[in-house]
Amino acid sequence: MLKNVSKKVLSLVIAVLLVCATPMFLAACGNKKVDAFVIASDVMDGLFNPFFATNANDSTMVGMTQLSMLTSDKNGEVAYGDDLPVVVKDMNQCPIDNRTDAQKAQAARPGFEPTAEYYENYYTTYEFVLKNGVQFSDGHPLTMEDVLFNMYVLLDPAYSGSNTMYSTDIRGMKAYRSQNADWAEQNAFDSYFNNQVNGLISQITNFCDNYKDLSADEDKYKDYIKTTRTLFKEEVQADWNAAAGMKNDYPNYPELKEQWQIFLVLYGQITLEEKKVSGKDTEYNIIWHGWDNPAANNLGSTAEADLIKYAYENKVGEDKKFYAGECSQGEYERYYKAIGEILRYWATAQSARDAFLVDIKSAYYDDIREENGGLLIPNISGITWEKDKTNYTFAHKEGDTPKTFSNSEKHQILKIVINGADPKAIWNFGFSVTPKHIYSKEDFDYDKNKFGVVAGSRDFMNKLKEVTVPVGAGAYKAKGATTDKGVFYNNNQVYFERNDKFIMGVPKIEYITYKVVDADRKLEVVDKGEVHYADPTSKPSVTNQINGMSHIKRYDIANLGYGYIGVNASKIRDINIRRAIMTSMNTSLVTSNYYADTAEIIYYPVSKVSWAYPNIKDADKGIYTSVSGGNSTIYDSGNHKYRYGSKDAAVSEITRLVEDEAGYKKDKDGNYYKNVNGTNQYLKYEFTVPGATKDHPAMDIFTNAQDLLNGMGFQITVNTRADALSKLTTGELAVWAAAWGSTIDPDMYQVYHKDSQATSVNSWGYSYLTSDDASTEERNLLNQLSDHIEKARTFLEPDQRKPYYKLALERVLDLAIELPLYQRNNLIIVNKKIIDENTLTPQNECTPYQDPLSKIWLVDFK
Amino acid sequence: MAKYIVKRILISILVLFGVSVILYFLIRLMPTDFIDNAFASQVSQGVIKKEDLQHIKELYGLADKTFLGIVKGYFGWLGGALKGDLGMSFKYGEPVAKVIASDMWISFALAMISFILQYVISIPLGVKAAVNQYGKLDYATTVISMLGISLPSFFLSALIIKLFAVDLGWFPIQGLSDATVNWDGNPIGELLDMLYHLALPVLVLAILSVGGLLRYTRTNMLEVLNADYIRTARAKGLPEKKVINKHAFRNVLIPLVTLTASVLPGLFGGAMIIEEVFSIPGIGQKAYQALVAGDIPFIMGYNMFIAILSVTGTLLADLAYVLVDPRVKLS
Repeated sequence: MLKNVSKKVLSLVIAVLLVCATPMFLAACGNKKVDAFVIASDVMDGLFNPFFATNANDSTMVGMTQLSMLTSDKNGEVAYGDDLPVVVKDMNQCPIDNRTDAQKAQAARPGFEPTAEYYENYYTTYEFVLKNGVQFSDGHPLTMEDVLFNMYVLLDPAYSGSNTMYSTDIRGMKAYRSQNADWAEQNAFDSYFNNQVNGLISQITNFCDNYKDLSADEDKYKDYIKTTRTLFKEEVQADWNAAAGMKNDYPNYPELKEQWQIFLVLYGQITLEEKKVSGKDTEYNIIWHGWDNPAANNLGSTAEADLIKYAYENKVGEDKKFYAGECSQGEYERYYKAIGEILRYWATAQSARDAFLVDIKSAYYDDIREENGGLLIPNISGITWEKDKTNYTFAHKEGDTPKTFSNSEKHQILKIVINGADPKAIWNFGFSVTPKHIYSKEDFDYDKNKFGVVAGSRDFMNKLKEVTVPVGAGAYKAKGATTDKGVFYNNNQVYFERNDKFIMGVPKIEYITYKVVDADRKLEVVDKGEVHYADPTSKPSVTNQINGMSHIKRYDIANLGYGYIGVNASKIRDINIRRAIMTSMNTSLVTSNYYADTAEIIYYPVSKVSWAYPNIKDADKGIYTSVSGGNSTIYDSGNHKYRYGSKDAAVSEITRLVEDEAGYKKDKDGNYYKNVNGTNQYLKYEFTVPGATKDHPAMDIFTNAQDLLNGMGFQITVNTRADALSKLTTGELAVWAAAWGSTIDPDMYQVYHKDSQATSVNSWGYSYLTSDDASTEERNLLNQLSDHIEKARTFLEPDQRKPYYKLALERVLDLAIELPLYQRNNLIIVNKKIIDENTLTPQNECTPYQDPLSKIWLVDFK
Repeated sequence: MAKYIVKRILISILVLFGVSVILYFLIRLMPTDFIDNAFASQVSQGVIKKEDLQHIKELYGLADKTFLGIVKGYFGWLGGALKGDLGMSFKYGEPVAKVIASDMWISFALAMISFILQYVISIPLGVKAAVNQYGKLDYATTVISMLGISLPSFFLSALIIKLFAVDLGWFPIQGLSDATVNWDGNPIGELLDMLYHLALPVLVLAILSVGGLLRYTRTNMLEVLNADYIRTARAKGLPEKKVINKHAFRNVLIPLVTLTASVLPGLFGGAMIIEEVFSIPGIGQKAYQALVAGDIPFIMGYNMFIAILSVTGTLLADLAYVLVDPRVKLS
């Protein structure tokens, strides 16, 4: 029987193998027809919502289906117009700065808090003319409704996605987001409510004073009277408590010793008499009104509760009787008079006023909510819609010739006003326009402040997330226009189909599929034709293989960013030790051992792609010497700020820095130490490589430096840490290697300015550099660095900003907090047996801002 | 019996509660959280201010890191979970239950096929090896099974891919379907294509797991073969085939059944590394990435799913014991 079992087993195994093998042979035999252009992707999260996608690969998938307001050209400058796949036909940005000199001076002072008035003369207007006739992939027109809907989602206080439009100070946005009118709005609202509440109080006091004639109005004021009486009771109690602390306030009336006595003085039950007897002497008398013998008067007690009740009821009557209408007409007249007096002169006047204000506000907001669907501040004042314009004059400075727009068709114009000036704000207005009718069921009515959102509502945001397949006006749409994510994203593949409604014309290739491929296998799959386009890691081992493959086209595109080694000044407080550590880093190992020809060494901490990277050409033009302190020296391989050179050269320079400059000595074990405030400090530091493996461009530099430094008397360890990047944000690492992803604009404020709120300054150790513990040299360098950054910000033209950035970069190097390492390329490979390489964006036009697929609607099979 | 099951289920609930408390606290005590990870670069470049980050953390319920805050967060999670709501995955943006339900079937198919292969191959071989102890077959299976047990899965996967996919070109390198083909209107072709793509990962999984089960079967068989009743059976003059297939093999089944029931979490829980290497979109791959990102609802949901499967698996194993071994009584 066992034999039989084995036979069965064998046949089963063979059957399974055959099932697997059949398609294999089918695939192997004959020429397979290629239906879809297959693009490799890294792992996705599968969150394909335009508002909430955070993973870059998810965003790429979403981007396939979306049309943005703006795009960038190959140089990273804002681009729009009829020739480009964007929503904006024409635009204008106009900074207005009419601040007085006094205002400017005030703004330069530390701790300056701008006001609405300040920004009245200092703002920037952005105007965007939308194209007509843009359609979403479902044929629905793309209109201003969709544009405003997107902005109101992205600016909503409950929005938690990764778009940062809210970081731009759009006029009226803070008020809208907080639903708490601040600045001008706040003042306007406050005075409105002040007038309301003042009017109400005068009505109440008038009623109280003239109760006899106005008693018919009693019901109208019932609630306010009740509130006042409650608050007054609290005031009496507070006075009782206060009386305890006033025992020494009546030195001329030594008999006043008890808390209850003073309380009764406050309430006029015991009166004090001051009488001039002769020219000089004054006589002080207490008139007890029977309270000199409390047991004998009608209260018969000096207990707290009894006295408070007595004082309260004496003034405004007993609650029970008062509310039940059981008081006499005379009593009511007296009590109401007292209430009127309380509302004018007593402390209760203020607390009652506050209470009435809340009442008025909530009544007012309830009305607004009813009218406008739940909003206190129903819109963002800085975002407006100029409707149906055939001729339009853009905002302009006084005296300038204005830019105009004219067209036979009516166009819609989006106008955005931001406070102050922000050169980077424009990039926040390049958002992709998603269709409101797909993502929201809420109404849109611009004139009634309905923007298709429920402001501040988490439920609404969760509803937005329920649309799991992206829809938009992009070149491609989900295959079969499916709304089922399980169909759109299936088997680690995302399926697209061309959008026939696309504004740039019908895309050439009908189907595009993104396929998740393990990063290490990207070359193999393109080689085998499983995938046609991929971005493998740019390493010599990969590029060497590619060079031997005639059917693969290779693109090298500079990466927008650069690699660096950071040194935390608060962990390594001696600037000369930091400089010694930098000198120990042999940066050339990055190209010789890791990147080969796919990266180059850089000498300034900025991406070489950026115009801010100092270069010989600009130096020859005299750009750098045009400012005070500027110089034409350019750091390069022959003139490195922290030159390693040879091992011997490095050792002698490090010895000089550590022993001569920093004053360290060697102990009996040969370790460097220095006595600081009675304790011996050793040069014991950790060099950290981020990630879980040792596969990192800086690894060899670190181990080489470790050998060198430990041979000299340092105690260095080199570690890999998976959580290194999060440790960086809290400034816990001493020396580390990482890479910056740069933004299009090289503004360095957030990364290096002493007042920056970004976490990058934690990693540099600014907490130490800005403290009194820092050396004079360090503080001077940091101040100069900050000044240069501020100065550069005052110009718009790159040539004017360049010399200041060069100076700033030199100060960063002087501070020895960041050692620039490498500028690397990204690699893209295409299987040109399948894809017609002539339909891709040519290599010389590929930059960090546009890749070979930047005109994806033109790409075709061979 | 019914009383025993009820008692076991009640205990299981207690166990699951304990597991959930420990899990939740461990996750919340991790030094970083989802928002820190997701927004790290924007924060370090100052695009997002710390106040904004804090605001977002509040929206996600991660702002309060005090003990009380975590306790509150736990009961928030527990309240939802008891109502059947495992929450929205931070990373995947969909209800956790939905992500698990949609992604576990690929993992299940992968595990099930290799599971069947594993049993079909290793039990007969194990029995045969035991019967021919110290024979050629025994040594051969021992060597092969030791190889399978000791090879790391990523290494074996890489070897297999290099050999069968890259060099020989017989099988695809990655993924679950041929993306260059439009499968619309050809479901059978699509299914075959999927099986074709699953061949290598199944092979790797089978090679890795055959060894263990084979050794287990062999050891148990050897033990049984030395038992008194086998000697009695032989002494009675029963033919050797009957002794082995009927008397011995049936007794070997008892530990095997136990082992089978405990496979339950493995069947649905996914093979993290193999799914990652072959880019198979299963639950293992999803869970690994959620863990790295600090996606609390998903990590909780997934681990509780595994915990429930484990608890159920053990219960089923104990019950199966009664079925296959009449000597065992539950009380």
